[in-house]
Amino acid sequence: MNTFKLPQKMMTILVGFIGIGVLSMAVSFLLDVQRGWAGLLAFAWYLTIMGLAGGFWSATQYVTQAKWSVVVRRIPENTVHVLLVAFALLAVVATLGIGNLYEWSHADIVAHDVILQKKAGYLNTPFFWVRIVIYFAAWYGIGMYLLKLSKSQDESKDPHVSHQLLKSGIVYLTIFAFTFTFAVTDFLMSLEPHWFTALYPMYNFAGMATTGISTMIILILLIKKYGGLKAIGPDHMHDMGKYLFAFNTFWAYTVFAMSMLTWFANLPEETYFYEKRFTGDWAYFTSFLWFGHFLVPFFYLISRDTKRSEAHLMNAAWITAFMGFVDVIWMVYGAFIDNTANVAHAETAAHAEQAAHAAPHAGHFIHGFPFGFIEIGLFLGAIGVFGFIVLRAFEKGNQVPEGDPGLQESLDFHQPL
Amino acid sequence: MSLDAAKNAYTIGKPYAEIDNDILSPVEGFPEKTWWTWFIISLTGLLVYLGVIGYSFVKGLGIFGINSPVSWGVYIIGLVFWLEIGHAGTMISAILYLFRQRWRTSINRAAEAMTIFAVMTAALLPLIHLGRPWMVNWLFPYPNDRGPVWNNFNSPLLWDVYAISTYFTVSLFFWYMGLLPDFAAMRDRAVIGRNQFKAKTAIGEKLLEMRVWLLKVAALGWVGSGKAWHHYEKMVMLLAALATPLVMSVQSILSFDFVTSVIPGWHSTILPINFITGSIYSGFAMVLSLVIVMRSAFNMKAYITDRHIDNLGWVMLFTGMLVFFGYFVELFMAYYSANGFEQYVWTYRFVGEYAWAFWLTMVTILLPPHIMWFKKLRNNHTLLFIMTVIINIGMWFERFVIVVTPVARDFLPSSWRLYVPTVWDVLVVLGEFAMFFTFFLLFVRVLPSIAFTEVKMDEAGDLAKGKGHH
Amino acid sequence: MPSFKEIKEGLFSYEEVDSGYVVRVKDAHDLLEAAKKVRDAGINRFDTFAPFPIHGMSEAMGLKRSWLPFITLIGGITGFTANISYIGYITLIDWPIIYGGKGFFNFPSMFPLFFEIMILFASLSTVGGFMALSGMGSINRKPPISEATSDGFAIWIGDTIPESEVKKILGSLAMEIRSVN
Repeated sequence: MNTFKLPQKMMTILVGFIGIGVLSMAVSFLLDVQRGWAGLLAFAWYLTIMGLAGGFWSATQYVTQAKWSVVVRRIPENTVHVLLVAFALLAVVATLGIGNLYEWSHADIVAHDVILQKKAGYLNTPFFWVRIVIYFAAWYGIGMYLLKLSKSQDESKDPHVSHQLLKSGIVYLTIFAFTFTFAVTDFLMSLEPHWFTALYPMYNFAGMATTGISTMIILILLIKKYGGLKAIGPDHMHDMGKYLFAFNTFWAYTVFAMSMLTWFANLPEETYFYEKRFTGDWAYFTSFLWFGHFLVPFFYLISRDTKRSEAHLMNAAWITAFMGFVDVIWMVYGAFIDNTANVAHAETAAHAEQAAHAAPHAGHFIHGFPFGFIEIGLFLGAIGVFGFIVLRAFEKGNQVPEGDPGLQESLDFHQPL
Repeated sequence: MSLDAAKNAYTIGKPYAEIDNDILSPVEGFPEKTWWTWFIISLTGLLVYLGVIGYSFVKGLGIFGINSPVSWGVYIIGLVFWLEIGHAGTMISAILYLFRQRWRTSINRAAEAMTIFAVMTAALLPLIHLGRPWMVNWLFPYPNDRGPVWNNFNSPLLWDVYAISTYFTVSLFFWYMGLLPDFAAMRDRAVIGRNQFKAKTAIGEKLLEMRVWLLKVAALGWVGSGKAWHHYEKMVMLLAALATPLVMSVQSILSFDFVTSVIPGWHSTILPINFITGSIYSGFAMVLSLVIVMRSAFNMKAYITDRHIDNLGWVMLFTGMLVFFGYFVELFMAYYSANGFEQYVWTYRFVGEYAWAFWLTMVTILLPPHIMWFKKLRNNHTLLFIMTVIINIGMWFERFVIVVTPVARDFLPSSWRLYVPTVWDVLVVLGEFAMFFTFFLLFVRVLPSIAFTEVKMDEAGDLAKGKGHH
Repeated sequence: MPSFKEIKEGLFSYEEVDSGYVVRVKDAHDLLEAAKKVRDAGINRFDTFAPFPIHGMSEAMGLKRSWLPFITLIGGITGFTANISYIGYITLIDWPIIYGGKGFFNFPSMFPLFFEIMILFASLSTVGGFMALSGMGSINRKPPISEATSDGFAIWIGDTIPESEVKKILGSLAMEIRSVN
């Protein structure tokens, strides 16, 4: 067995991060219960996407039979362990916090709301719970199966395992496409239950991939810094950097398509999603998200030298990982913006009605600037949980898939000049 | 598909000169009867098409089936259809290049040619649809004496003008730059006496001389210098990196024509993604049909192997599933929206006057690629060819459903009208195909349909790795 | 910052075959070896000729990284800003007009135009830059050995050194030595 253990110091730091996260969460709940629940949802969803991205990414590598990525594969494969924590937290949100977060869970509100009545076949509490269990059973179950299968090849060196991985990868990706679409609709889109847009799941997918790849890069570079994963050279990291760059650009594309089309058509029932997020402090926050998530990493990563340098790639990965969390906060907290000014100043009666629909139910507002020390604490906490769990799991196995028939080709991999 | 079989699957194992001869044999020889038959059929079709266009200029657009709510008929359907076909060429030459997919080498030249001709076919259609095509220069924002009258820069239709002309220019340059070393090789073949042409008369000799002169101009003085290759490889990489977002943007902008409107069924923000997946799907179907025919017509089985066909088939299956997924998301969102108008569009598609077209689409685009799951069926290339033809027919009707159904029943029931294609519409559709195939048939006889420089490069790479069988 | 001399070397690297020797070698592998030897021998002016790009040749010849991406970047930025200025001038100064209640100059709905022109300029400057950097355009130029575009491999040594020196550098790699002029 060729294992690697990070120094205890590093693990202590990660535990410290978790401590900061827990503390921030507690403070958040004490100061503002609404912000606490929204923060917990954002935290848990952020963990979910980090856990999913690894499975998604390694499944694409199995299916395409990519050779260069063989040495990189163990960290992404191990991210599946995070899904258990994410599930536990989301279960808390879906049971105790559902009243604060999801308007459609209140029978009395639905009774007076025609749109919510029409959606009740999908948006109702029991079905919501069933769906959550199905999602996580599928993601965690297949993810663990793929991990076990991949690890079994280390001993057996059986090339047929790669073929099995290919087949299971196809199943995983198919199930993933549907479950992820529904999960985004459930957890995020239904926070504003009168609003919908068809690109939203794809937008979240792009965000998931960007966040996931940046957190994988952070862990890989951390391990490399302490002398592990020697098989991964600058050529492999260069490709990871390209992935990060490509998915980040795709994220920007979905942002542009979704917001431009909403702005252009200017339909009252759609446009308040953005109207809210461009009023007051939120205008700064939205601009910060779009510039920070896209433009900064874009110009940082466009150079070949940045992608090949460990220090620069680490910086870029931290930026995109952080902005990924900002993105989640933007989606979740945005649902609870104090919208009364929009209602008062609406151009027409139809706009006023839609603005009222866009307001959170029963005055569940989050006041003040949407991003502060609490959210930074939550971000560090999420990274701590993710890093701790994934690295603990990583320590138990081989650093690279030693039985993979493509291993030698992966070790020899070089980028053309 | 066992894993070890993948190794060396593309190695040809012939001397370089023989590779040149093989690939250039259709170019350096007189075409046979089959080619002439197809070419004359296509050319006749093209002439008929030009006649129809001329007649529509004289008579007006009234001869077509378009009417007041359905003002976008066969032309816009054709525009979307052919642009999407074209995009597969860029996918193969640029995106598969960035993903370092070796198997693109043998098919990228033909696929890029397909792109150029499909975009030409596509770009002609909206120009005819202008109604007053002699004012085509008004599409471009240049300083003028008309006021000046400027374009509406907020209009997605103007974005199309920008997008399609940029796309055509960039694709053309990308293609030409790929051809550059091949042109140089063709130029020098006469000097080293490998030319397969044999002139029997004085005029023939004169023509061959002229050909060499044209090739000299086309090759721009390329001599295969190491310093030039150094920049050349960088250029191909850069153009691939530029073409990838470009192809996405063109497809998205095409979908913006529909999505920026407030028409239910058109205003669905997933449509840009669906257009992109649809374009890979229909384009790869066209590539696959062309490649299957080409390789048996020109004996290119050593270069375009069964594995190439297999890979293209898997791409079809994958994108076919993506297209299904896109439809599913659109349908789910229509349900989730709880918006009566959104849901009506789908009800209308399911059971309305155009239900036949909708269900035809569903059956012909969603089912055929699943033959890939069965080993016997996927190894049958006749079946694969039939599959691709069916898929492309289905994709045409998919455009039909997208363009026609949301407006045939718009918000005001008194203005509801059906779009019934006339005989002229049908002639236009056939004419588009005739135009495309005329150009493609000319291409396979005039230019090397496989990028033999790249083939040789891959061969050398295999030799260096000690994998070749020289 | 690179010095002017470095930029010049990196930019206009193609040289015409006008002096010295053209040496034919057997195959791509030998050409790679020959290039390494010639570079190590301290020859200033030399070039290799092959019908296809050879993996590792740029390193073997000791070529600097190509400046082409830089030209692309400049082209892209130029296209983007030029189009913003042009459309900005039209919609804000020359003939301001409101379409669909959206204001005069709308970044979201004009971005596709900026993007397309950016890509167009970047691509054209890449192609133009490539043609300039690798000396394209002299259509009457002939390869030093006629097979260089099909299956021949050759190395050109431009420095004025005696032929015995060439033989010493290349050893058994040299199949045929021809002096230029």
